Amino acid sequence: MTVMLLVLMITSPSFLAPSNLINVLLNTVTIGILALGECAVIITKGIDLSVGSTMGLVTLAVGTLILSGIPVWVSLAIGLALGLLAGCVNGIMVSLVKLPPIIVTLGTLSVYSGLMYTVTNGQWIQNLPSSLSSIGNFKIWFLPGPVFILLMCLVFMSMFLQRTITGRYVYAVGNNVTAARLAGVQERRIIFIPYAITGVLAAIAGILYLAYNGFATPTTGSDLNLEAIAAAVIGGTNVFGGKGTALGAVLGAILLGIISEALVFFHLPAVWNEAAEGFIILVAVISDSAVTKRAAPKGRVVS
Amino acid sequence: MPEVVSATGLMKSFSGVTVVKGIDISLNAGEAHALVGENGAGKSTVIKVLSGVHQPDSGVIKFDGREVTIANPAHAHQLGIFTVHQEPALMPELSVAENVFMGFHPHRHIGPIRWVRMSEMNARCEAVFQRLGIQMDVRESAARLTIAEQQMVEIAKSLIHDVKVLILDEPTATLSLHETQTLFSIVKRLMSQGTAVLFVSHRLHEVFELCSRVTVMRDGQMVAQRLTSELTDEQLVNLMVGRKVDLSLSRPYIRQASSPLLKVRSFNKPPYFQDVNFEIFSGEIVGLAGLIGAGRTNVAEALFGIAPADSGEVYLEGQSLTIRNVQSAIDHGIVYVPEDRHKHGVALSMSIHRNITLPSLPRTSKWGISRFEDESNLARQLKESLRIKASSTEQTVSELSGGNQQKVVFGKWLARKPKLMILDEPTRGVDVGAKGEIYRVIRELANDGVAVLVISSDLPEILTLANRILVMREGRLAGCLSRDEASEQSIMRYATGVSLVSP
Repeated sequence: MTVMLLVLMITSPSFLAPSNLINVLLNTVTIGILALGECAVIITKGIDLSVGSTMGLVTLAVGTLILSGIPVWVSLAIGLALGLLAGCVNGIMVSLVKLPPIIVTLGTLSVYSGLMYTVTNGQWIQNLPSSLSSIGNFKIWFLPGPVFILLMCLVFMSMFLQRTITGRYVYAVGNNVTAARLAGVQERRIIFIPYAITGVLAAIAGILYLAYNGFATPTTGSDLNLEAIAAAVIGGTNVFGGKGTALGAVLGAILLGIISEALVFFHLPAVWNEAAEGFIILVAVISDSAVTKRAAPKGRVVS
Repeated sequence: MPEVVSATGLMKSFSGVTVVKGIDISLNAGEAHALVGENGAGKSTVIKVLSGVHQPDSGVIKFDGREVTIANPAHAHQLGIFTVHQEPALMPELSVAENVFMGFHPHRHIGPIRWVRMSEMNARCEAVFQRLGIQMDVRESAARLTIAEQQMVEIAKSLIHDVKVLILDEPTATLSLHETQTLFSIVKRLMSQGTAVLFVSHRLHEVFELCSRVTVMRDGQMVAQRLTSELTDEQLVNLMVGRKVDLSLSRPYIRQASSPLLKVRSFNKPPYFQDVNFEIFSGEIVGLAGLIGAGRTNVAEALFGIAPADSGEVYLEGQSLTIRNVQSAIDHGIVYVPEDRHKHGVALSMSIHRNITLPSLPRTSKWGISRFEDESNLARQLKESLRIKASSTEQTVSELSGGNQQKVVFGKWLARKPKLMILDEPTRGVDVGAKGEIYRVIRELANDGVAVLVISSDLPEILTLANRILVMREGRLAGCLSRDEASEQSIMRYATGVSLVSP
């Protein structure tokens, strides 16, 4: 992962220019935030195929609410609540009803993206008031607002996963449910939490998208369902659960962003984008399994 | 001694089958109580009820004199009841310290959030291992631990608490003698501090060493409750199986061939083993003893091509041979029955038939399509000759007892008519009755001219089976003992490099 980043940066030195890096970051904010949630879900041995659709739904709902005259801050609050609700639906179906995550979120993916059309009757959302776009365009020191919010989310998720007891239980459940249960971990509650968080993060990503771009279509986010998973996996999250970090997920998202930037940079047609991403995912997974093999259990001499 | 916990009239059934039928058991402070019985006797269910995993259908559990319902494992922990389970259940991607403290992380509250105190956790974990007398990097991930080390982590889990009741479910099955002694000294120390111990083991000498009372279960029922001082080994075995079992029968062996079947010369794979030289004759049973980690399994894996040696020569029937992979080992008639049969030995969800015939499919096939008749004949033959207890060869292996599963693994390789069979801990987790059966099978194999190399940490087992005993220490062959020279003391002397005081 780090190696690939370095290779890309060395082969195209002008990537190292801070302005360009910030540009890349700006383009990866949405995927980065989605990948943060996805990573936590995957650590529990789950998967959320509906993150992009949740994000899209929030984007359209917030846009519609604002255009219908409801105050911006109220609309945003409703948007966040909607994201939380969507995440909770996934979480409840997986943890309480005990359905396989891939089926649940495949279902909600369709439901949420279907709802997007009904919210707007298939129309685009545009001509949004400037009070909204100011969220997308403010700056803190040299960091654009959305990048700053991504970093906040990263710090939050890192702290949550690494340093809180609930976060450690997330790893425990993903590693060995039986062992976690025997240690008194209430696994249903723990499995539910990452889905709920992912819903809220998707809402944040959606709001930033709307604020930054100033428009949204009924297909917004639909291409991000898989990209979020890809970013998490490239960043070292183990699809079999139990392993992964928030920082890795964001780095994975940045790498995906760099790839599409690099294609532009080298004047390669954008149609190569997806194939290149797929290639990187495979390399990431293969190198991960190679590393795991090398670290296999060792014999030990007991004195 | 005051009673800490007791269960009376315990009943439990699963999907209509009653597995525990009215057990009464009580544990006193500072006393170890053994629970013995063959596999499937219902011991594990009793343990699971006491540790809150299962709820009894009927019966009364009292803790400190008060009637309690142990709702879940967390509740058991609150009461001070801790269980070290037979199979280590660790979280491979998490550190040793986190495995030990899972569910009980040292933490501080910041509002509603509970922050883990990582450094405190690591320090406390190190202290626990110091008490255990074990060197372990508590920050290392659990995936890198050996089975014995994993077991130590399981034990460490209970030591971070105020243990009132410690339940040990076959804790020594994976431990070497040295590690077992370490464990026992810890358990004894806890007992002197007033901990009550419930001890489940198939190793009867351990029961006599540690426990003052013993409860014997058979088919879910309690058949006896005695003081260990009133019993002999033999009486206890007979109580468990309800029939006479003779484990001590040793097999005479007269070397017939003039040259060895297998000759190994300066076999090297540092750091696992170095300069290993030995030979095995056809029809001979050779024991390979040593502490866990001495490199025994590594030698076996090198001979079987799982992790080939870096250098050294192997001669089979005088012919030099290079074992690069498992396929070449099998082709030369070398087979290996691994230690962890669930992981490496059998496909649990497949039938006996499918398991047994798997390595022989090339022989029962024509044009890549297996002839079903030949295949099922082979399976049936082996089931009969090994006396595998099952309704038919189509029964799923996961439904069989441990001993019968092990026989299936044997059968799988016997179908290939091996010349050399390497057995790694062949009776681990197998009950006394089935042990005798497996010994019989091993002896019959040798009588048929197969050379057998048995790796075992169970010294009485090695002494019973082997015609000659090789002892490894820290990757080197420390000694070779003939049947007459061998005793538990002489083996341990070579295995540890320390002279033990013989009684």
